[in-house]
Amino acid sequence: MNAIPGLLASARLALRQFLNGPRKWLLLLLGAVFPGIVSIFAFAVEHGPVNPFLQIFDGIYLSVILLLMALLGATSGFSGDAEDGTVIYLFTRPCPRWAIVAGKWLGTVPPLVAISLVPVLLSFLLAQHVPADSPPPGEAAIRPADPGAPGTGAPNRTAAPPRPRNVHETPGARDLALVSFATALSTVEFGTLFFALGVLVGRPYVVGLCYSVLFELILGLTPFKMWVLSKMLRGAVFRIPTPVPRFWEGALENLPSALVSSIGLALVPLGSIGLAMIVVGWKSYLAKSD
Amino acid sequence: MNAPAPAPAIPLVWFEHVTRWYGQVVALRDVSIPIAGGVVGLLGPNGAGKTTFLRVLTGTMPPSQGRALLFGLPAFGTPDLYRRIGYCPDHDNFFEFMTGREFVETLLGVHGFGSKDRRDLAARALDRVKAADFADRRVFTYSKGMRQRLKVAQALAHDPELLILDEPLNGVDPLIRRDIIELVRELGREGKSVIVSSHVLHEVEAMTPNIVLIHKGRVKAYGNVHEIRGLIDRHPHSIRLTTPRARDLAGILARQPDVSELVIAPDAVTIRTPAPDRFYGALPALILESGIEVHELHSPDDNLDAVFRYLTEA
Repeated sequence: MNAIPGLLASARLALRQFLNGPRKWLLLLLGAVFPGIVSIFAFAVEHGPVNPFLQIFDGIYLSVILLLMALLGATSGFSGDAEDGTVIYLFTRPCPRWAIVAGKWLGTVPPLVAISLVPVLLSFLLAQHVPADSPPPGEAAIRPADPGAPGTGAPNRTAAPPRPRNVHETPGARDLALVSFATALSTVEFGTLFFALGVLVGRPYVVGLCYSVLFELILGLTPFKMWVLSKMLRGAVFRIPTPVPRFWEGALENLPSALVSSIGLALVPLGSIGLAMIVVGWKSYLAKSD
Repeated sequence: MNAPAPAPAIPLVWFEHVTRWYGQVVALRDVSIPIAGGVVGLLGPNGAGKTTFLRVLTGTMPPSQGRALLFGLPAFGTPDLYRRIGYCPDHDNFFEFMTGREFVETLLGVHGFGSKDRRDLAARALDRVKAADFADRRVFTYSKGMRQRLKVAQALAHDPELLILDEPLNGVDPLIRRDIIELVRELGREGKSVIVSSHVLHEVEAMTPNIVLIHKGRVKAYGNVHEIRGLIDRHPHSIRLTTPRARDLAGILARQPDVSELVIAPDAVTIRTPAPDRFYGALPALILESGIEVHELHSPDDNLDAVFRYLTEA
């Protein structure tokens, strides 16, 4: 049995659903937060970040907005059809189910990547209009850390100024390439995660939201951050030193934290489902799962 | 030389001790049934397990226990079977942003048909269910009847050997009802097999004499309606005799050993008997001997409604 025609037809269907529904507008609206914040920081705050584009990208867009965009955009890629029953039309065709699901993924996650890049490009264009400036003579400046020196998170300070002023840096083509790559890969990662939740569990939105809360808010505050692909990538892209060693770098002295890290990573999905069951009531959750 | 023995016929559908439960709810209980083919009505009240029966049959869910075979192959996990069957589900959801034609063509695409075949097959199916006139409108503008026609069209577009229709007459107006009933009969005449579920008795009677009665997850009876009708004879059977001398006739009938219950109305007597054949045999002589004029003899149980009532109450 040739699965390819079914896979492609399923992908076309998912793409049409993505483009015809209200999802794309909601995503663009959510994504618009990023250029909005960039412009506020860039133009209105004199003592704002050194490079608002990069810092807001890392701190807000990649960690929060993109996560929510992926939740909103990818979860219903399959679960929408499962919930309203239309998936039965697809599953009663001579095509393996994996091909139907893979086609749905193909029609959901790549368009999500494209949409997630729109705010990045807009923000980049906005940031181009913020001139790189230098401090007035005699005034102190805070300069960005040398990106080539990992581990030096502290800015280089000159004399102690009464009111330090930032030196804005205009992001360049390399910055754009890096953040676009990080955005695309993170969207694929988060999108696939939430898409898979939609395939595998009941009430995927609640589970996904719980996952985000657990992952970003709770685990993000602990010293043992969970290092998944986007975070590793972020570290690589921005040369941020990794505070917790990854488990495959398991020198013996790093073993405890590496164990916590890897066990925690495995427990997050289970914890999310547990939290979702508490949030919606476990009986109701199970009833929906059927 | 002896002729070779004919190969044993594989039933179209073979359920072997099929049980299906959802959590603690048992939807199908130890169902064992062969269905040979032709047009078969799956009959049962709401919640009887008809949709679960059809979902197990179509392989969209596996049985919790037992085996469900379709064309001799496991119904679940054999996607190639979907070349031979078409399924019309009971729910009313579609990809609403599409036109009816796009909907059918899209599903034919998942089947693996090329673009020209998709167009031709979709046009033929839509024409057959009389949906061609509105096929180019978006589905969200459709009425209930149009949606039913579209569902049937997607099920028969690839010309399957077996069509499985789950409550296709649910909520449609009499005109569409007549068209769908006629379509099912026509498919039967063409040699196709159709399994059609309904909770409305006369709808099934209008389509086929072959029925499967299902109630509370159990198959109560299956076969020709007349054969099933014979099952009634094991239960008290009602007979109504219309007569101007109801009280006199009641007096005579009350003395008969086969009459277990008797109700007198001003112009009729209704009796219940556990042995209808014996009673029918003795009745002409009784009436002649008594000289009482009987205008009409009618059994309210002589229809599918009664069969169903008897079997589900048994």
